[in-house]
Amino acid sequence: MISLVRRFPAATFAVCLGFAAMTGCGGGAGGSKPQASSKPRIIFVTNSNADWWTAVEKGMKDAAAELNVDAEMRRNEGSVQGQIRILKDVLSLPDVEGVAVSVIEAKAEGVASAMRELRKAGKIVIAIDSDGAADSREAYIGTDNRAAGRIAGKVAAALRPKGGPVVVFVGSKEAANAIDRRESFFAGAGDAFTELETFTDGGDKNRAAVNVRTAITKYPEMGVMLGIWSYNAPAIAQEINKFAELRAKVTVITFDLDERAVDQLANGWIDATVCQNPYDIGFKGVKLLKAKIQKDQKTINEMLPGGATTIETGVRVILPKADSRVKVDNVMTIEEMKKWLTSKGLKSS
Amino acid sequence: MSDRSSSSHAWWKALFRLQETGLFLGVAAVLGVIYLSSARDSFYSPYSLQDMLHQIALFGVLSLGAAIVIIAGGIDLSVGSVVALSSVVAARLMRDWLPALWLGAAPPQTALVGLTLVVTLSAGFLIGVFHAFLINQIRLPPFIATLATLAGLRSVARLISLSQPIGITSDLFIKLGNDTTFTVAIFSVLAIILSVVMGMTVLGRHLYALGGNEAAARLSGLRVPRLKLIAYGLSGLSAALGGILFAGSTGQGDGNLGIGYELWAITAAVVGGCSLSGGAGSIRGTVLGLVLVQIVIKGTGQFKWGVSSTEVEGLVLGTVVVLAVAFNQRNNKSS
Repeated sequence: MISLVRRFPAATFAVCLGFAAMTGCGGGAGGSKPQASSKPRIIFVTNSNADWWTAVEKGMKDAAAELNVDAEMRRNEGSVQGQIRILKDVLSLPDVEGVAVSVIEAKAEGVASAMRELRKAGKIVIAIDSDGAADSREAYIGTDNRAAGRIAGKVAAALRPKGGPVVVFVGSKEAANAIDRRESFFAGAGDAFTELETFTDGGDKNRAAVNVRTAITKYPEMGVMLGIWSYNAPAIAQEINKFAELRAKVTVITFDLDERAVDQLANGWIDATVCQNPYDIGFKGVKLLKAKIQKDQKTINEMLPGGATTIETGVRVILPKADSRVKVDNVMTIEEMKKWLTSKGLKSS
Repeated sequence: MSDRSSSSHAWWKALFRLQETGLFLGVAAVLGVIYLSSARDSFYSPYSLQDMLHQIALFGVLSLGAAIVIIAGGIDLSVGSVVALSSVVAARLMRDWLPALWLGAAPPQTALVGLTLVVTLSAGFLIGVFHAFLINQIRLPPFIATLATLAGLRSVARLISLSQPIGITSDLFIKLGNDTTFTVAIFSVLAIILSVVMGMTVLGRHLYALGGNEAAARLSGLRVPRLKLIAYGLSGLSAALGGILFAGSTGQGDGNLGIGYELWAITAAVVGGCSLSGGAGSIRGTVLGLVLVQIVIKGTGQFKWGVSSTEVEGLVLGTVVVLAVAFNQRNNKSS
């Protein structure tokens, strides 16, 4: 080894230099310190690559243009390890001053630890969409998923007063938003609704469709199909629509509004979807990060009054058409929602 | 009479020595267990069987290409990434790139889909050619060459798709991957063609010879680089076809499609009797291995375990894979 170094000093130097650059040499254990600039650089890290994130990205880009911020979205493919890798990559970028993370699994210590490392390195870290450990982020922007779940439960109870057995579809059962939505759905719906099974697909859309087909044959007695993640909605609607008799007795409740689900909802293949405001999450995420990076206390106080750490972006319940049975706040028909989407230049929400 | 009896006895012995016999018995045993269980009605419903056939066809296209490479003594770890890349290439061809050729006019559906298929499949074949180049000219081991493209092509897919799913609006294209009749027909034609190529042609025999002993194949005058190019080219082509079908099935081109699908493809080939050291296996066996794997997955999903069936699936599948491969090896040794 020593003789190699002696024979090829220039190559050895180049290799060392490359290694130092890759590992962020000189930045200490906590990674590189951010370099303050007039146009702060921030990164959004997603939990999956669902269509839903396109609307967050639009809000993020609009805010970045308006507030003079350099914002970028890095999409995780749906695994804990993938998200940790992205967070570690961000740690080695000295010019990144703020990070917004949709935490893929609430109990994944690796993700929480990577977020803490980012904070130690002087970067501002917030959680968006799906919250993480309280000490791993400075604030959370998104839907109160517990409230969203309860509203979905109430909508199910309104559309189906006698209740029924529920089959749940989700990418990962361990994601904070999945836990919150699923648990509070049953709390909101009441005792007449019981869970048959939760099918997970790991973010694989082909598997999501297979799970729906399996549920259709396995549980002919099911009364409700509940799609927790946005892409579960089109997977459910596509299949259930093939069975007129089953469709007539099953209530389909979903979350968010995937691009493909817009027409499916309009066609009545989905009974209701509880829709977050991803555009707002993206916009407010940039605004808060910039305010925190530049220590703009006035904006921080406006966004987080009284030292709060959560910004609630609210939910809307979207129905195929007006339905007097559904008595919750913020109800819209799909036609009204389409007009809103067009006004924001969006195809999904 | 005794001659007839002994020839009949030999026939039975030969039948039981056939590698596929074990797989047939495995498939029959799993089907029997399901038939005797509470999952019978749901598993054997026409809808369920149709779904299983659909999944066999979707994953089968990938497994066939993987099997040829394994028989030829190689390995292709890039299958899942080629699936993703071809799905986004096809989606962008239809949405952005090809319509530009019609200068603003709406292109005819069949021409658009036809051109998309030709370009996407050609891209898949060229990826296989690139693998062969890395292996033949740069002398990279197949594992390393395809491991590099496993990462690299996924990245290219995400760059092309701008990391967003791209919706596919062509009904004809969607039909290819979503309509079981079309998907199964495509898979069946490919399986028959490749089975004939591998079992009844000189090319097939050369690929087996290459996988059995590369040095001997070279010394025998076989054109080893060209054979590798054909094997990896076919694998790339079949993975691209898989990408087209999966894109049709999900209605999207997606840079995150097909993560881990190379393992499903290799699993089906290995369960079907392909040896990872090359020179052994068949297209027939691979199809049967695939059928066994998909029956196990579907069957596991239909049982009521008291927990999420997706959590039990890996354990059941892993056990069946170990049993199937152990049986194959034992059967091969005894014959």
